[in-house]
Amino acid sequence: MTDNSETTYLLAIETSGIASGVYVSRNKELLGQVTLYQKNIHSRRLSLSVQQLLQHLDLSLKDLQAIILSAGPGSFTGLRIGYSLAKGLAHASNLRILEIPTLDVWAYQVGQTGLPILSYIDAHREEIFFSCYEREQDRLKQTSDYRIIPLLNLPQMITGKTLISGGNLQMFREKFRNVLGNHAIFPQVCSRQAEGWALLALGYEKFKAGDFSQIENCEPLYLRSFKGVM
Amino acid sequence: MILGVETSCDETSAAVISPRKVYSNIISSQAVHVDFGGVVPELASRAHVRKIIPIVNEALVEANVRLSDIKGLAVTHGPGLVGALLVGLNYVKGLALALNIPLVGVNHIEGHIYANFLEGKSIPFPFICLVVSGGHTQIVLVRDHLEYRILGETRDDAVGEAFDKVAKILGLPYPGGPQIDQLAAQGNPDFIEFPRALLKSGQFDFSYSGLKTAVLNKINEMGEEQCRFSLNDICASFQKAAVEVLVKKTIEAARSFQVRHITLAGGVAANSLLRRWMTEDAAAYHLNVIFPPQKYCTDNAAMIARAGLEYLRRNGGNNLDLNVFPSLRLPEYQKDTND
Amino acid sequence: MITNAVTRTEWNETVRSPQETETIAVEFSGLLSQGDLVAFYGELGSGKTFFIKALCRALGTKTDATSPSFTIMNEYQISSDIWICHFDFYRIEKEAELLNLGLDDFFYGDYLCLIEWADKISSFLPPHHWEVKLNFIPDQPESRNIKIHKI
Repeated sequence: MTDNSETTYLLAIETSGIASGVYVSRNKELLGQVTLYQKNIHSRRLSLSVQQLLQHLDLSLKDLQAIILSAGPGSFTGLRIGYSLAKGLAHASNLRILEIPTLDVWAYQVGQTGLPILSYIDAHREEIFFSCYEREQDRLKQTSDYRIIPLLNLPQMITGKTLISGGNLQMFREKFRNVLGNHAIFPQVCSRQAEGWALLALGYEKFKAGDFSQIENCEPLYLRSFKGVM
Repeated sequence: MILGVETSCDETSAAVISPRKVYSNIISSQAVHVDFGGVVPELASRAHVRKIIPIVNEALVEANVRLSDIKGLAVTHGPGLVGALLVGLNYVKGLALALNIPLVGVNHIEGHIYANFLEGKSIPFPFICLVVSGGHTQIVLVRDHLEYRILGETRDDAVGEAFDKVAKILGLPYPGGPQIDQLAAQGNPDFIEFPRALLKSGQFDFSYSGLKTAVLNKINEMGEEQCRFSLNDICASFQKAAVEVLVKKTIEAARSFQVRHITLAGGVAANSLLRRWMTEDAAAYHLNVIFPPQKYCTDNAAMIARAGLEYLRRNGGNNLDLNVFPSLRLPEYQKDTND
Repeated sequence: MITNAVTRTEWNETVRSPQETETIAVEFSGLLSQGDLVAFYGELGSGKTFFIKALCRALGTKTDATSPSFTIMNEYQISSDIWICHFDFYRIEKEAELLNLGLDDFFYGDYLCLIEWADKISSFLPPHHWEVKLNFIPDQPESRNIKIHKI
């Protein structure tokens, strides 16, 4: 017999980029996932993915302790679909919400080396959303804010060998090489997305720390705001 | 009891209703857009994300119910701003999944038609609905519950858009429709004879692109100073041209389809000339014009819930893979030989 | 479609009627695919919406394109995974207002984007796109000069 009171079930939702992903963990362990890469289907499929994944795992929403959201930055539309669905689920099931900045996820999934890390998300027009991290004992410590920067200005930020992690690396590899030269180090395996297992792992840490978001007013990390309005 | 949610534009709204009663109908308008001269889609979407739960909670509290008392969900899934619609729809999907109750997607225009059916009221079928807003100009024959036929519609600009564009050409602040309405009240409607497009009998389509261009040409011809001097007259002349076509075609549609009742929906339905003229002309032909209660004329969730209720009664709910459609059309019934 | 003629990729023509405009729109539609962006330039009443309507019909939209100026954007579906986004920025006052307007989701999101009043958002346009310019011709109210080219 296992002691159920010690078991934490978490549902994670990732819609910041090309993937429409739903993940469930038991404590730190990934139990199951549904990830779709078809374009423009977050809105139609995401709720179905949640329903089906829970069914496959013989779980119901009542078994969950919290919902983890990949908070962005990224596609505004995609992020809002994830947030809106999670708000509906959380509102009706009294679930709590944990928000994980997506740049943290990109960094975490390559975090095993000792190198400093720069994670990025395409902001278009030769700009990136980015954040920097360094390893400190067994954790990653963020060493910058979440910011947006023109690629050309990166050398001001990056002055030594740095591991780069982010989406569409095939296209970005050359751009980073051009501005950072051999300071830019790339992971051996390129991910297409902020990975569900990494999102769950970071969410679990945040859950343990009791660092919950307010479900009423939480909103994506847009990193682009309207002057004087928001 | 049904919970309705409406987020198609810049108003976040939630309502709890039953067939005979509106228990609550909370509407939160987003004032932020005034500074921008119109609705900014991204701003609207962001505000919906922040407001959706507080507004739904307010609706529940005012109705004195809990989410677990709700038996069905209705949400606008078009037409409207895609990003704004997505917030309402996905939030409601979350509720449907968690509460294990049916959800139904409602056409926003259909909602406006059903504003006439709130609080146990109704209009006898069949009736004609003139839908006039920033995005729509349609004459709809409503044969029975949820049975629509679009008899005519604009081939280019919507009438509300013509109002807004003309207002902008004249340098009036947004939203332009009410401004023109006000100024026109002090102007001479016969000052300029603007063209009435497609005012031929027997068909019910509209065209407002030509009228817009005609106003523009006239203003350029008159020059800035004279234009400022005759502002009220230009507004009155434009408004007369825009409204006359609406009234004439609606009355003609009612008569040729032998329908006795007419109702109006959409933002332009608030236009004072349109209301007056329609009522007068209808009376002359012994037709009955019904305006929905003022409080249900603007975008609101009660009307969405009311239309949703009709769907839930007849067809049950939609699947969770329901999508939003920014240019969603009214669902039309199959035309048969009897029409 | 297989033809021996070299496919045309640029236009600079004077049309005398809406029908002639439509012919060009139909021909031009053959060059467009998912992910493309077309920027339309021309004064009020120069026929941008008319051109887009004809273009959308030729591309096979199920509903007729209508002016989206109130909502800024309309979407039309062609097939299960091909979508057209039709923008109208007429009522946008200053380009700065559009900063961060969430346009990137569409401009870089595998839609076919058709943009009226593109001059209002020029610095947001992706570097490669099509330009369609519609101009009045003095004293010929039915005629227009149509210029199309890729940049």
